[in-house]
Amino acid sequence: MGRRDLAGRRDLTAGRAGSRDGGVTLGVPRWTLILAALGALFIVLPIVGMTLRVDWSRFGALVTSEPAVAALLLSLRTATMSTVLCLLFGVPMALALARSRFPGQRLVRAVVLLPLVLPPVVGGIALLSTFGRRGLLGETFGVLGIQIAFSTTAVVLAQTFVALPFLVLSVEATLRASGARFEAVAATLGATPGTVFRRVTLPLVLPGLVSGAVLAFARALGEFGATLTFAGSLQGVTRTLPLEIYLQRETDADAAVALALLLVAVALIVMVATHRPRGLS
Amino acid sequence: MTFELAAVMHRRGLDVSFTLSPGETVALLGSNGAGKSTIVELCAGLLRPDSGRATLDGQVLFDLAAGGSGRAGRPGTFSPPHARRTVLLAQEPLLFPHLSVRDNVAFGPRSAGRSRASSRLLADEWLAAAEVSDLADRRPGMLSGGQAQRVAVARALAASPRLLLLDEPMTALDVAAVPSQRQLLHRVLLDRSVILVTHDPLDALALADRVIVLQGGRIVEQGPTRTVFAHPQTEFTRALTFGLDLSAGPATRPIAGV
Repeated sequence: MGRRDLAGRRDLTAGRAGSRDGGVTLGVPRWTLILAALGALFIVLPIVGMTLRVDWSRFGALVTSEPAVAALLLSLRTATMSTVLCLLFGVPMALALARSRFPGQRLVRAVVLLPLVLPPVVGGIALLSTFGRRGLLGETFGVLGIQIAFSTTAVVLAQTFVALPFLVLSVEATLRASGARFEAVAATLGATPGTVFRRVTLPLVLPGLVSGAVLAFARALGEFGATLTFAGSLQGVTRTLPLEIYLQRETDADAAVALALLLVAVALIVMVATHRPRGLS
Repeated sequence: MTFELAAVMHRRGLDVSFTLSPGETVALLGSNGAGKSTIVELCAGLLRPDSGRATLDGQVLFDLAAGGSGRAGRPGTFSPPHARRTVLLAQEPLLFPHLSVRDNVAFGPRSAGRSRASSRLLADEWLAAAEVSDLADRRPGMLSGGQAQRVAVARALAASPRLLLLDEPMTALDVAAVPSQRQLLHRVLLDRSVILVTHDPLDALALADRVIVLQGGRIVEQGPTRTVFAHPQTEFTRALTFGLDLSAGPATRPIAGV
């Protein structure tokens, strides 16, 4: 008996996804397994290589040094804030892309996803041209006495800029997969658009929302190029962990490796703790 | 609750007009693509016709003048689905998977502004009416197709619809579950205004006072169910009712309005 998907259709493949519950794995030729293993090795090996290079006798001292702790805390704080911004703006963006139709939608979608393919340093230059002292909006902010570039706010903006597409993509895909039929039923049952969003749409896309937020957080945590360009590298203010790692590499390679491992560990913990691909529950 | 509909929708090749008396159940019959589901979605507010007018119990559901292109500034009114109280029950139950059965049924009353407690009490009443009280605390994913559709019936009725729209409510059911579902519908649809889309002449006979036969988006035949089935005027109805013995017993429900 196949499981039923969200829409109540019987999903014949659900029970056969793996061999654990007696199903037979279909459509996976053996050579793909070999290539998949090679691909996985390509990701795992460098991490292992880096771990082997860690000077364990100094590791504790290196990762608890004052600049390191300051960088880690700044990274966690800014990545959290930019994830909140991504959720606040990204969910409505995904909703607009997945559920409504407007002229130029394909173009808008492409532009929104642009940060995915842009070199982050280009994003940094773009942000600087907009929010910098002589930028498009920067002058207005300057008049109001607000200086965005080279502040912690700039770090958050840079991270949000590069992380937003991850959240939008993930939520949009979930919205498309769940379809608009539940929303239609909810509306005919008398639910206003606000109620439908709160009581039907949001709970239904929660898995995509969570995995999108995790991806966005991880991307924000690793942000380097846009941050350096737009926010600079001031300890405790804009020098996040990736910037600290890069800086340390110039002077103390061991410290850079230790901090890199710390970043890997933080990213892994976040991913493993919260990220589950759809279909597994 | 008189319902009046006149609608033209070019994209779907639809041009129909009919009236529903208070408490009357009308079955829409016709082959695939004849426009049955389009009519239901127009009534529910999920589709917007090019022109036409629909009123339910005096309230205008839509009133759109011909010739408009549908852009802003166009004259006319269009009431959104949630303001119509025209509840749709589709082929698939579409129970909200994240809510318990009870909260699914309580969804309509909650949306209408009732308190959580009184909505749940009302939900329990409708679950009892649909004979599925024992499922109240379950998640929809744990129900069989027949159980889920019963819950969906309870949820639709709990929203106190003025017009109930049933779009092939039994097509997706297991054969064994169809007769009891039909009996349930027969019981709860009495004295309600209902539009029922079906492929099954038995459904029409058991549930509908009147049938409307559609072909290519137009009404080609209509009248009291037994009359139409006994004297089919179109090839479609002749084929649909082939072999049906209409002499067996009187109609099982009183004629509406009597």
